[in-house]
Amino acid sequence: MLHRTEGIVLHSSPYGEADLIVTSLTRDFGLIRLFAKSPRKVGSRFGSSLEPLTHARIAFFGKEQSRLPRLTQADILRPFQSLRERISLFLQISEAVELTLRVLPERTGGGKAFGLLLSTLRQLEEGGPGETYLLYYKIHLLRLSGFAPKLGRCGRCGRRAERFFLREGTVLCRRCEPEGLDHSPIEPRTERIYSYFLRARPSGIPRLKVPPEIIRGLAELINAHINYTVVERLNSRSFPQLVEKEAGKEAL
Amino acid sequence: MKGLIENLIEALTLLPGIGRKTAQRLAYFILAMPHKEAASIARAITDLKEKARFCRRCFNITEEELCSICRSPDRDQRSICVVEEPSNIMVIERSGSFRGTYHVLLGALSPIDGVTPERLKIRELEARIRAGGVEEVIIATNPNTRGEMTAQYIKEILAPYNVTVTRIAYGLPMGGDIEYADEVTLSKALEGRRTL
Ligand SMILES: [Zn+2]
Ligand SMILES: [Zn+2]
Repeated sequence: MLHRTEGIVLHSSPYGEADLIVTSLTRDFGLIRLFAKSPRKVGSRFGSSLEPLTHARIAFFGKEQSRLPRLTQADILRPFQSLRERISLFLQISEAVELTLRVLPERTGGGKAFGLLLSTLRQLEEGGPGETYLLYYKIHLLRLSGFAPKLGRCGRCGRRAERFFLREGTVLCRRCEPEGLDHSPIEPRTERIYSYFLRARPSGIPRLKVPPEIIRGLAELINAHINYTVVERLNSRSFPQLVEKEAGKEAL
Repeated sequence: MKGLIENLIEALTLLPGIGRKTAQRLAYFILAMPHKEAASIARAITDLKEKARFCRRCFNITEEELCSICRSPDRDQRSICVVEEPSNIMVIERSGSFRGTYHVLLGALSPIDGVTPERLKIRELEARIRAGGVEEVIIATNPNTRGEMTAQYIKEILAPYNVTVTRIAYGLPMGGDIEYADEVTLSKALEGRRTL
C-alpha cells in the first residue's frame, strides 16, 4: 500500500552499498524508519532530499505493520540548507533532534510533534533567538511525550512549591518533600517563563522579552531533567563547542 | 552444530547488502565451485584480515608501514587530498587527475551518532600540516551534511597554519539533466560557477 505524507528527515544511516535508512518525523505517521534505495549514488532521484532537516512531501510503500517500508518519493518542500551550513547551530539542533529520536515512540501520534519541529526550524532559519526557540522546542517535546517536569505546584499535593527535585521530576512542598534528597530552588521568574512557554504559541517567542540569564537558567534545568529522566547522555552533547565565525555563506 | 551450508549462509548475511536469499544462492554457488577457486576466496579474506593495516601517515590500507602512494617519489607531497574512507582513494586514483598524497579520516563527523572529531584522524592531519612542506589541503569529503560539517571543522582547525584549504567543487552530475536536479544541488552549482 502506498502512503503519502509530509516528513522532516531526522537521521539517516548508510545501509549496504548505496542505500540509506532514513528516520523521518511525519505529519501522519509520527516517527518512522524508511528504507531508501540508492540515494547515495551520484545523480540519484532522491538528490539532496534525504539530508537531515529536509522538509519534503514523501511517499512510501509497505503494509501497515511492515518493519521497514520503502521510500519511493521525496519532493523537497523546504530544504533548511542554511541550518545545516552553520556548524554550531546545527550542533544545537542535532541535540534537539537526538532528543526527539529518544523520546518519541515510533509510529504514534505525529501531527503535533511534526508541527512543532517544522515551526521551530522555520523560526531558526528566519533568524532570531535560536537558543530560546530550541528551549521552547524541548519543553514542548517533553510535554508531548509525557516527560515534562512539573514546576509551580507540588507534584504530590498541589500546594505551591519552589524546590525542584531532579529525582522526582517535580517541585515538592515542605510537607511532601523526602528527606535528604538533592534539590534546587526555582526562582519565581523561572517558573513564570516556564509556564508561559507551555501555554505560548511558537509565534509568541520572538516578542518575548526575558533576560538571557533566565533563559539560560531554565535551559540548564531542562537539560538536567533530560539527563536524569530521559537519557543519561546525548551523543550530540559530547561534541566540542565551536566558535562560529559566521560560517553561513562563507566559502571554504 | 549447524549444517555446513547453513553456517556459510549465516556468515555471508553479515556482509552489507546481502540478504538471506542472496546468501543462499552464493553458498550453493561456492559449493559447486572447483576447490581451488573457493580456497582462493577464503585465503584472500584471511590474508586481507591478517596483513592489511593502515598506513602510518595517511591511513590508507597497506601491507607495509607506509602505503604505496606515500612511498612513491612521483607523488607531490605538497598537496594532500582529504577523504572519508580508504575506498575513496581508489576512485580518485582511477580518475587519474590527482598527483598529490592523501589523508583518510576514517569517517565523517556525526553528532547524533557520537562521531566526534577525536574519533576521526583529524589530529593526525593537523600533525602532518604542522610538520611543514604542505601547501594545499583539498577536502574531498562527501557532499552531504556529514561531509560538509567535517570540511568546515577541518577548515577551522587548519586556519592557524600557512596552508591553502580548498573544497572540491559542488556541481551537477555529468550526464545528468538540469531539470532533475533538486534545489540544493542547483543552488550549490550556481554558487560554485566559474568564468568560461
Ligand atoms: Zn506537597
Ligand atoms: Zn599512505
